[in-house]
Amino acid sequence: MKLTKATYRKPDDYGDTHFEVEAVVENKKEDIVDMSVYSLTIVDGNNNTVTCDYEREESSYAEKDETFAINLSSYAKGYLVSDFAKAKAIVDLTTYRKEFKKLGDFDIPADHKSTIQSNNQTEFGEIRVFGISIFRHDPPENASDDHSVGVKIAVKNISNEYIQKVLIKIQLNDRSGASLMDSQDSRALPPNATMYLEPSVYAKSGKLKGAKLDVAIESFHMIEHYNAESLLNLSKD
Amino acid sequence: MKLGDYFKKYNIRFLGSSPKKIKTKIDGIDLEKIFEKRFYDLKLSLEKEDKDIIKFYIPEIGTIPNDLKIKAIDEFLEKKKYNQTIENLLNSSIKIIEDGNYYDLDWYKRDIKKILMKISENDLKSVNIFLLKLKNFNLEIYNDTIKIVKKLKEHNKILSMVNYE
Repeated sequence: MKLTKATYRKPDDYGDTHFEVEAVVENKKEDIVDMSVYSLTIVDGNNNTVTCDYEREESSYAEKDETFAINLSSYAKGYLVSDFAKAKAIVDLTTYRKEFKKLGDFDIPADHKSTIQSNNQTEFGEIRVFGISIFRHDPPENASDDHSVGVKIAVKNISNEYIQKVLIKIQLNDRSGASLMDSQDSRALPPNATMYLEPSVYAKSGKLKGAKLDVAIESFHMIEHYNAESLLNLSKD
Repeated sequence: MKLGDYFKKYNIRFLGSSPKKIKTKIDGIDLEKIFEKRFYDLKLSLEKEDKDIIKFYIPEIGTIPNDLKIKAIDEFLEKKKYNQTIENLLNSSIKIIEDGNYYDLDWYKRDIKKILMKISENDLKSVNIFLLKLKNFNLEIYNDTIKIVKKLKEHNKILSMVNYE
């Protein structure tokens, strides 16, 4: 990884200083990069923290030997930096590969007192996916308002690897198969941990008749760590 | 415009501790009142009401930066779109060798090969501008790049249309 730009702007009327950093990253591994997570830390000449923007996630794509670029930014009060010429930007970045599995198409429960369940527990790489329960939230006070449908899924990490992100995607399709709405929920999954995800969608009651819920899971696994730092220059913009 | 409509327009989602409950609250916020604010300010104002939002994001794009002003979402999305273009990939490629060392030159060559394999007829103008820029920057690297262009012609016919004479 190389920082190709690291700049600051003079403090604005509110006293805020804006920092901008650009980086290029080469994927040297066989795994395809699908996501990068990075942080930008700005420190002064004595390594005092000025600002830190962390857990920035981006859909990056790079096959082996391909390079991708990222733009990072942050801001802080100008008084935190006594000498900008000595301040620096530190970027820490990790790349991730993605795994995907469709978990099934499910009917919508007839009302908020019934459920549709998958009745099967599956294993997806290093993740145990417990059976899926589809339910309806309590109906709205006004029956003509949207009715909400939720999905309950517990997932367990059965490995010693820290899984950066487990994502459940749901897509609500009407009886003709046309897409009505999609939603997602995601969590990090430490080794041996179990997490609970509950994405939900909503539609008018009539639209839910004969509708189907398409449920899929994605997981993101670490490929490589990168680190770089650079002194800051005054922005020419 | 209400914040809910704005979120729908840009497909902005959020990850929170109890998304369903927060959603209604967010939907009703008057956008005009917070248009000049940053996403971080929005997060803080919701925190004051005990609505814990971990992050705002756009599916298939990523996290919305905390420092981004709510009014600047179009610029942010344009930049993301531009990042994927051949023009930007070529610009990034040249940045690899600016202030670079021997290893960076190898990196540049690997990168430029991958980019040149992808170019289509629509990208020819960007490639020609890039080559001109490269020629002015470093003639030796320019000549190496032309060799790569010639070598890759059989894999990507569009490269026959690149102007380097």
